[in-house]
Amino acid sequence: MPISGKFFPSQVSGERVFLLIRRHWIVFATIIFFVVVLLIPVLVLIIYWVSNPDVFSGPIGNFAIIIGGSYTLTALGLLLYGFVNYYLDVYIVTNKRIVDIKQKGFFSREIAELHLHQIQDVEAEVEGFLQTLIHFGSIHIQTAGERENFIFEDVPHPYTLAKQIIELHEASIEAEYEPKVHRDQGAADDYRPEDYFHPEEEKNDQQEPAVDEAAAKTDGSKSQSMSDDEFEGGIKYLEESYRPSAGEKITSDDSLFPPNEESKNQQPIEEFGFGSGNASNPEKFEKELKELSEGQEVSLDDTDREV
Amino acid sequence: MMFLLICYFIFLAVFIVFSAFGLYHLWRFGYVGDFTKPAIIIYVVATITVIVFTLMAISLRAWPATLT
Repeated sequence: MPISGKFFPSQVSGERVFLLIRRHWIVFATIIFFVVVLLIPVLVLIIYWVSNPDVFSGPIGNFAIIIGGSYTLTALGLLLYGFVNYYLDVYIVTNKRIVDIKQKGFFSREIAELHLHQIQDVEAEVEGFLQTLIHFGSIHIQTAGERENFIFEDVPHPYTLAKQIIELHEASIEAEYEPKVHRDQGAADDYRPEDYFHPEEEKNDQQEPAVDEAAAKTDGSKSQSMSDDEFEGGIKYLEESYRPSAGEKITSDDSLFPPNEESKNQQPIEEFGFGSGNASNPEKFEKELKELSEGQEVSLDDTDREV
Repeated sequence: MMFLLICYFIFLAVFIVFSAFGLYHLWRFGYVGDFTKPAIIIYVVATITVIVFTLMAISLRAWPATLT
């Protein structure tokens, strides 16, 4: 079955694909060039046959058909093999992790993952005349611990990609420490008071002021718990402070983005490599990254992704 | 000549199985909006053209039953 609504098999609900990176088009162009060179003798044979049909009237003609047909189909088969190896080799950067999918032939496929917070250093490397000329190279992602480093080979615009991966890494760390509240459009009913109150923090706060507790005990009139009026007032205050203007409403979720079906079926923000959509759109990326840092849901165009 | 013809048909069978594996990978691991579906169509059209062309050429010629 095809991967319906997902970019890779282990994609979880609510996981958003930010970057979809394939190797530079020059890699596939090399395969095409090789196949075209292979097909040159067939082209010469056809031209010669058309100009001298008498030469191929006997057994030589039969031989030429069989060998020529087999040779052409072999070249096409090699092209398919090269395309599968090239096109299904993908590097994916989501709002949670980096996924490295390696297609090795028809019968070997490896998928490695790295969480964004495990990144320690990202290094871009452009080496050689051709790489410098047409802007492609490698990205080395150093990981925490004894894990093997991630290497993106022959990717286009390695400096830009390295910068974007670092920014996503920083944004994910920032988002982890932000309150578990973000704004969304059209979901005011999803407001939950518990999103604004963190029991763990309250517990820690309660442990520190021992003097106040003792004072409260001696006083006898104050309760440790908040009264209903105070609670409602607090909610109203927080609701007003977080509620955005002009119809924007509030939702909350534990993850960076809400796990809904819609978010699963959206296109990646950027694609790099052969067949990419909007490979050069740094303004859009900056905007989406800013929204990610602020804990807002990234808004992308709805796309029919029926398989 | 018949020997060549038999070899060609065996090759054709192997080639079709090989192509089926490749096309299955493109269909299985591709997603909507990428280049896998157009690639499948282009490949199928190209290979069918070559196969039909060779089969037509084979059918239009005489193939002696000798193995030489």
